[in-house]
Amino acid sequence: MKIYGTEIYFQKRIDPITGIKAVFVRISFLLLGLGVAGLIFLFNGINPIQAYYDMIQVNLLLIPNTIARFIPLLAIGIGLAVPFKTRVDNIGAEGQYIIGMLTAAGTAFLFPDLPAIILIPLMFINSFILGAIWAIPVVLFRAKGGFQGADVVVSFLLVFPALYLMEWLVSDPWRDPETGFTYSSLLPVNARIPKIPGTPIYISIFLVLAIALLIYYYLFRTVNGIPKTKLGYEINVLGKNPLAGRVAGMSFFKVILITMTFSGGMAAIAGVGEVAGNSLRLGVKSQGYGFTGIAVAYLGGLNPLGIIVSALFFAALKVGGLALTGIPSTVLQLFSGIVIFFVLLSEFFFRFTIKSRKLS
Amino acid sequence: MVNTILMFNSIVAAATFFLLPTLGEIYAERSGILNLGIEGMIIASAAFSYAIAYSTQNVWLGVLFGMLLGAVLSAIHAIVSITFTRTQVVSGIGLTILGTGLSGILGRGVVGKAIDTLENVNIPILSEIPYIGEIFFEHPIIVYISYLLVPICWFILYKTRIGILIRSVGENPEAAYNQGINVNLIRYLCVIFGGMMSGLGGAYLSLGYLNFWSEGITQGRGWIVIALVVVALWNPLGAFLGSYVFGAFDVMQYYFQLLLPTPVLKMAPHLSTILFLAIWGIILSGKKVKSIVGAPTALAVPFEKS
Amino acid sequence: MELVLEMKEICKTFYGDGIVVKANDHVNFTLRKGEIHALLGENGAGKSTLVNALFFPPDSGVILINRKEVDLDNPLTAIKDYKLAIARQDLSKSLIERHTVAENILSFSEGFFLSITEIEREIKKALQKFDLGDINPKAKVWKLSGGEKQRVEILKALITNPDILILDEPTAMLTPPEIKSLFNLLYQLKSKGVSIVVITHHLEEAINFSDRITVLRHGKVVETLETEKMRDHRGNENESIRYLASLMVGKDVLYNLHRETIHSGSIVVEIKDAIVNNDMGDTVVLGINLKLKANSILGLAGISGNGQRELIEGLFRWRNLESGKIIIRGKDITNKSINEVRKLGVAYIPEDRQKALVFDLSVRDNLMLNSYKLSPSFFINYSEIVSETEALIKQYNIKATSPLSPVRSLSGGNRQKVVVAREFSLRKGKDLILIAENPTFGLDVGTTQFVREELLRKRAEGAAILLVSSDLTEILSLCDEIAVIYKGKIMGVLTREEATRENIGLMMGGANLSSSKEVLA
Repeated sequence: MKIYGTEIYFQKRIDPITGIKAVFVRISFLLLGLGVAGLIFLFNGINPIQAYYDMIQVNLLLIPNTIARFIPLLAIGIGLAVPFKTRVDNIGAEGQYIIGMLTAAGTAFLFPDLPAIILIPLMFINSFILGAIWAIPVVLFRAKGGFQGADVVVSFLLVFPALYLMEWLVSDPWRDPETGFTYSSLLPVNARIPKIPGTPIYISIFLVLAIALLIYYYLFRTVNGIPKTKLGYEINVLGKNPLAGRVAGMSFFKVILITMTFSGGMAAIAGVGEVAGNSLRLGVKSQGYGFTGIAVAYLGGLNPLGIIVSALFFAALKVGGLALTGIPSTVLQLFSGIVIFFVLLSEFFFRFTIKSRKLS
Repeated sequence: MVNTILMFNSIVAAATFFLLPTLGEIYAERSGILNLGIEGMIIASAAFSYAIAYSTQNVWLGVLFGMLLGAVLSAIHAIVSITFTRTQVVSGIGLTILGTGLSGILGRGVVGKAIDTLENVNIPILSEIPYIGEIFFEHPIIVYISYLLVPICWFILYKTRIGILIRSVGENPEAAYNQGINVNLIRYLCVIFGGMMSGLGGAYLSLGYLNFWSEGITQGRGWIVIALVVVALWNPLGAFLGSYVFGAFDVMQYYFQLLLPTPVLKMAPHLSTILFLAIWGIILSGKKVKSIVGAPTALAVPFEKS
Repeated sequence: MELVLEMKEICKTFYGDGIVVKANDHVNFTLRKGEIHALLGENGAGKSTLVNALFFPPDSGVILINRKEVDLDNPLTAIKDYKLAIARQDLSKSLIERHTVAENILSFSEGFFLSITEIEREIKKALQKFDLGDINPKAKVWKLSGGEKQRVEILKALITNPDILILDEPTAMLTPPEIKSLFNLLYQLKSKGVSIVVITHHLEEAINFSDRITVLRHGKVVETLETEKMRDHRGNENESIRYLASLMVGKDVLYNLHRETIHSGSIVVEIKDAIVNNDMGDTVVLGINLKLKANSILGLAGISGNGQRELIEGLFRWRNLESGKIIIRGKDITNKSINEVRKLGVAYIPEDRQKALVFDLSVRDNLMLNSYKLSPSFFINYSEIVSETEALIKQYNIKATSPLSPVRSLSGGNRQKVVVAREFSLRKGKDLILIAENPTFGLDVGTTQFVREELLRKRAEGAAILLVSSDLTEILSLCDEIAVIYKGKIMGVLTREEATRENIGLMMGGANLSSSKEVLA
């Protein structure tokens, strides 16, 4: 770009920014993003400083709510980080999440008399399986797709059948007979995820944190450059250069099948956490965690450790949104969208720098 | 008894909502940029144009501002994908999320408020043709604009110099760049055109088709546009056909509720697209066919100037 | 003689991916009116970068056309205002496969409307005028053969009637008769006053067809000389070739290779009647039979684009065979997976480095690409891998800051060493089957020597090696047997004693073994 006799251009960095430095850059861009969101508030007649202040206050008051939202976001975020590393973007996580909710509720309604200690794990297992299955078409299209991008299209297309299925279920067979409104009956008592005694925190937090740490340890962490498992190594290689991986004999299909089914399963687990913990019934709309999850994963640098922090951040945003009276619930999406853009921009600056030179 | 004329008229109205953004996205994708943010642009524009129309009491000003918002939002995606060469899939999703979020804020003042929206304009002579006239020629002006845009978009893409440049940029940006074509400029123009068309679609939604604003008014139909571009085989004529088929699906929901469960009808466009893609995938196992028809070769591939 | 083009003190540096490369370092180059000027140099010497400076501005330097300074900031200025034209080497960056020939030649269309029929007519006229043969302007580019594509690229440059014409490796995919007619065409253009730059690494072409030669090495001009004077001075063609080669490479290059005479062992790999299609569905391997033996190197010589790539890809199962069989150590692997073939001990050094290295990952990550799966469970054997990779780095003298440095920060030679280290250590002794595709392409002298010595060493240890190379010197100095491929068929297999540059050259151009013997007798 040329302005006033100077040329501004991008130059590739010789050593891209990584590690702790990268975290700082990412955080600075996040703050920039929050600033832009503040500007948008300003243009719409809302005082941004007051808004942010209120949001923080609410969070301090309602920490349990924040943690309640943290759990499903973490689950989805971890689930997304794994296939994202292989450059397969699971943008249909919302659909798998809904399927998870449906399966959990369905299992609960089908077996209301099973003791909780059997019923709840059963709900998790069933949901994981169906969520994983819901993700398989994406793998098929990626491996045998007729044209480039078919897998992306299929990925989000599958969200709608899940959504409409849920709408129909709560309007008809599962509609609450007591109130007659379009939501389902409350989940039977045995199906509700218990809290840690003495605290308002659901015990499912242990499940999700454990999965996050296991995934980190076995797939992401490297010692002297060596990952712990063969799968972790294959994910690394296929994500950076699928050509070289395949020449070496790796099966791209096998790896993306494993990562995507895991992703679908995790999104579904998030759904279980939501329906059997927070809302205790199915509604017509979903919380949109499937899409927020994408922002969570990216802000977290596609690394489980970062995602734990990022999920907390977004949970705080969601709860903070409650404080903003007069602003519709879509405000969380506003933040998510802005965060995504600024994180993407920060990644650009990891690899490139801006230079200028004077033209003669 | 079903009033078929009324039903077909509704199909035209519904199809136009799909057609406008599809034409725009065809241009964007033909130049190589995948813009998944269509749903966000549509819904944000729907809110914004309604709000502007309300506050200025001028519908056309609302439409104009809706298109402008579409252009601005698509420009964000363009900057991140083209100048900063970031992944188009994630950037597009970010745009959708952003647009949906914006729509709530932009429209919060006019939820449930009624205004004078676009009126139907009956085209003289043409609207008097039995059947056809009532179906096709008794609509708001935007619908007629969509009729004209189809052949225009087709002609520009295939029969003009700018069209071959756009297609070259989407097929092999390196080769185009080496011949002196300004790849980035063409991509920007196509994406912003796509944004304007999505904006027009959104304005049409709130000001000409449904005639009100509330959150979630698109019901996710903006996503279908992306699938439509594929079904249209990236051809404006295909867009016309596909939009009308999907418009029919959309309208039939209400007419055939007693025959088929609602969710099945609602899912029809999505499932049929998946089926279409699956069949395509099987047919295209021979690479020869891929060379004749299909997505632009450089679609969604970031272009870095060497 | 007037100078039609002067390039002064041209500098261009490439940044990124771990290295800073001075592709052009204060290069001075001139072109006289009506001359054919050959630009010689090894891969990476800076030749393509230099001519690119005429289309995209370099970092610094001055360009004069017809003695007036010009500002060439984008290709259109060069093409339209100054009548420059270029036929590029990498056609994938120049031709749009899915479009027709006519749609690719856009320089013609002006204004708003596109009149394809008119363009097609002009193309037909130009094909006749320039004697470029019969190509249908309505044909889709992906359907054309390599040679036809190259001719389309040349046509694209010529059709604008340029004053200055640049051809970058124009003969890479042409047969000897096509090369002849190309140079005839160039002479005709020359007589009409067109000034021509030919980039080539074929020394004989430069000596026989040019008026002047400029040799580039590592981004700098080594020498610009008058061809005829040099020929006279050196006496015969071979001496001239030697002289130019030494200019290109920097010293008198004599690769001293220790080659023991070994009796080749049993047959390890058999390719029977292989028929393979390329990506476009065209059959490019038309029934090939080859045998690889232990303790021996079989060379596959041929101009690139004659089916070697697809044959190799069929061999290690990247690609399916349409018919035929591949038998490795007695096992029919025609339908097995790449992984299974690798398990039989097949190592592969691809020509395309993208297939061999993951640039963003570390040296260690790249070295373990084959061995990571040796451990029986889901886990990687940490200590084994650490010691193995450290040993390889030492043994092959890979220069890197640490095993964790990303491969992109290594020089070209060291990168190839990583590939060689990894693939050569896949198996020991007789258990190793090695496919090497142009393994010394673009490497410096030291690394080239090293790789060739390693090939001979593995041969002595018992490996069966298939060496695909377009470098005849390499083929002649290393191989026990040489098969020559032309248009998907083996023209003949020569033993080391029978093989000469001449008969291989003839076979590369389409003659079969017996007729080449006749010609040379």
